[in-house]
Amino acid sequence: MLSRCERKGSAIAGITYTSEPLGVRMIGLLRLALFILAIEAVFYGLLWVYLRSTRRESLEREWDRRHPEKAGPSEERAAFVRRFMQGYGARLRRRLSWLVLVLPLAVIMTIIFFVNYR
Amino acid sequence: MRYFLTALGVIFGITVFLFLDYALPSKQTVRITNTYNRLTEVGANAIFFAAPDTGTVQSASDRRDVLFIDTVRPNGKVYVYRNEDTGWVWPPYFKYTSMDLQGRATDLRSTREAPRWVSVTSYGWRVPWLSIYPNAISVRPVEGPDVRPFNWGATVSLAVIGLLLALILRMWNQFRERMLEPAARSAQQRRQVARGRAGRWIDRLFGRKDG
Repeated sequence: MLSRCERKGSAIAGITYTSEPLGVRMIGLLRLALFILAIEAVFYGLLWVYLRSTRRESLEREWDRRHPEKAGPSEERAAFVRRFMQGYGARLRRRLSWLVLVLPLAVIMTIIFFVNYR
Repeated sequence: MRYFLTALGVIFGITVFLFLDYALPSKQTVRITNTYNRLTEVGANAIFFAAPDTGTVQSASDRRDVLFIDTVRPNGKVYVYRNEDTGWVWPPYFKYTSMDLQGRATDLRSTREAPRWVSVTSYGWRVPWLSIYPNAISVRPVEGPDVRPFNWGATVSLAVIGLLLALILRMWNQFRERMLEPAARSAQQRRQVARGRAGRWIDRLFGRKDG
C-alpha cells in the first residue's frame, strides 16, 4: 500500500496506480468463489428434487402403461418406482455435480476472455 | 387490495427493467476524442462507480483517480465514458485490464476532420447531474458511423435469464402438482369426513358448495 505522501504525490502528478497488495485481490476472489458456490448449492438442491420428481412421475406412468388393469397408486407400483430410482439417483448425482461445478466456471472464463482479451 | 398488488407488480417490473438496463452491456458507435484520468469526487453517487478496492488510488476521503474516455456520437453530441476495473462480484464483467483498454482507446483517437469510428461496449448510465458515467468494457474499430454491431452480450444474457426463469417455473409447477395438490385434496377429504352429514347440511345452508 502507498504511504500518505506517495499517494498525494501520485495524485498531484496525475499518475494512476492500479496494482494493489495481493491479499486484497485474493479476498475478492474468495468472496466470489463462496458466492458462486452458495448459488450452485441452491440450484443443485432444487434440480435434485425436481429431476427425481419428474423421474418418479414418468416411472409411475410407465407402470400404469404396462399394467393398465393395476393402474393407480399401489404397493407394487411403489416398489417398482423405488427399485428404479436407486440407479437413477447415483447417475443423477454424478451428472448434476459435473454440471453445477463446471458450467459456472466455463461461463466466467468466457466472460473474462471476451471482456479482457479481445 | 387488487390495485395495491397491481401497483406493486408494476413497480417491481420497472425496477427489474432499470436494473437490467444498467447492468446489461450496450453498444454505441462513436468517435473517440480524448482519453485522460482525473481526480474525481465520488460521494453519494458511489454505487454507480466501482468499489474502492478495485485498484484506483483514493487520496482524500472520497476523491478517486478515474480514467475517462471522451467520445462524440454521430449526431454530434458528446458522450463521456469512465474506464474502471469491475469488482470481483458485481457487475459480473470481471474486467481487470482497464489500463490496456485506455491504451487502446488512446490509439484510436481521431479528430472531426479525419474521424475514426469505433464501437464501444459499455454498461451503465450517463447522468450528468449525478456525475455518473457508463463503464466502457471494450472498443473495436468499425467502418463508419452507421455501422452498429449486434449486441450479443445483452441478447445472450437475456436468453439465459429467460431460460432460468422458465426452469424455475417448471420446478414450481412440478412441486405444486406432486406435493401441494395431493396434500390439499387429502386435507379436504379429511375435512369432509370429519364434518359428516350435519356439516354438509350446514354448508348448504350457508351457501358453501365444496366441503
